[in-house]
Amino acid sequence: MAFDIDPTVSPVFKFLDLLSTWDYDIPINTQWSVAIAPEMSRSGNIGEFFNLIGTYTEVDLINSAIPSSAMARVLSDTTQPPVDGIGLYYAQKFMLPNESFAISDSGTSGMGGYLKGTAGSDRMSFAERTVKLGFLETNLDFVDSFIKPWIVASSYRGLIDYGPDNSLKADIFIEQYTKNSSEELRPLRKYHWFQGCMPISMDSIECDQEKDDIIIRDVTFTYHTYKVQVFPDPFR
Amino acid sequence: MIIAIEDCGIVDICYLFGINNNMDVPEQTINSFFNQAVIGDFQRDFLFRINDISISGGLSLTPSELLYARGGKLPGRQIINKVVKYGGQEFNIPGAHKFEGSDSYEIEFYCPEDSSIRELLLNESNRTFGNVFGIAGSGEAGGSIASANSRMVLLQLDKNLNAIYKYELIGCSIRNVGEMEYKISEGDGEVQTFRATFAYHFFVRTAVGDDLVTPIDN
Repeated sequence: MAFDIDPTVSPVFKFLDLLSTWDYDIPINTQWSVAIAPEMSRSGNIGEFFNLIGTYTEVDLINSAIPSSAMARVLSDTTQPPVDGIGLYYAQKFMLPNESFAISDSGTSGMGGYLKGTAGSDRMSFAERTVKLGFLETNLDFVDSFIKPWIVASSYRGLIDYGPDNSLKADIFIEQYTKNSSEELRPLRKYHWFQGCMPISMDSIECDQEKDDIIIRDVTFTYHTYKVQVFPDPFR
Repeated sequence: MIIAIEDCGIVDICYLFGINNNMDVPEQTINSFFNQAVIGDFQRDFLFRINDISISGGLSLTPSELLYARGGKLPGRQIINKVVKYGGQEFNIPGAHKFEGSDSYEIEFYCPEDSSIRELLLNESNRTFGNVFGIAGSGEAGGSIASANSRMVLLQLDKNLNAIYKYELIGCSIRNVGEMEYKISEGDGEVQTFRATFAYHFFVRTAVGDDLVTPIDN
């Protein structure tokens, strides 16, 4: 059945009308922020979180534990102020997980010209679901000083839930904003909340005399729960 | 044309284009232009000063040294255009911003006889990155030279040489110190000049004085 289109309505002007509303304006994809909140930080134990990482990394790599003098400067109110919501300064990019489920043929062989049916199969597993963040390399290297020891500690700990006071897991919050100004400085349009995150891999680094580019390193996190919230027009 | 639009029933076009039968045309005549020119006058190409160049931890040109600046530009700002297509029509959506020329803001200097200004600029270039030891300099706080305290101040003046707008280029750092050519056999005493370029992150504006459009920087 064809669409019942009103020929007197210009699709171009209709598109323009929609573009004029908050819901359908085109956002700029640079307006977002990321925050990493270790579960242990909820009870004010962020220092214990770093100490727990250090416990495992002392076994694996000599001197790979985060120096206590650097802990507060790697992940703290300075690098991701929670009040004004600017987010983790080092985060340069993020890649959200996709969603899919598999389909398969359903039928016997030798059906000739008859098409096989399609059957639903498995939904994408958690092992395939990851969230990826890209971090800027600075003098105080966030990836080598924090992410790498965290990965090492996580590999020893595993993904078992030890409770929020003894956990190597973290929540990752990703907020996406509109480009419009309003009563708020940057209105929220989408909110992603990944719970139970642990880093599982990080990019290697290659330094080359031929290249003097700014370095951004990708880190992949696994998670056990993902919630996404879309916010409709705040003015209606 | 208006009749044709009404026949299509697309009455919104009239509203969108501001078409109405009772439109007042503002008076734009020779006389009105002359009257406005008397009141508002015009900006001239010499009503500009480079008031300060201070780079954190390094270069700071004195007022007497800045007298040798021949000219510069008042920087501009660009909104990047993004195109979305629908139904054969291109819609031009405003994207992010860009400060055009922020990677190469050029100033031309007269060269004093002792070449002091050029040497200072070359020193700053070496401080930014030195080729002998491969060391990059830092700002006063130990971080990037291109910090918030590295600034160039430009003044836009009125005909009484009073500043009307101040433009501060934030996060300045030197990029290029240009060549200076000599003509030993054919030279006739021409005053030497050279060009230097700086990069900055963005600029902020301040209205200096009364009855001016208030700059808004979001």
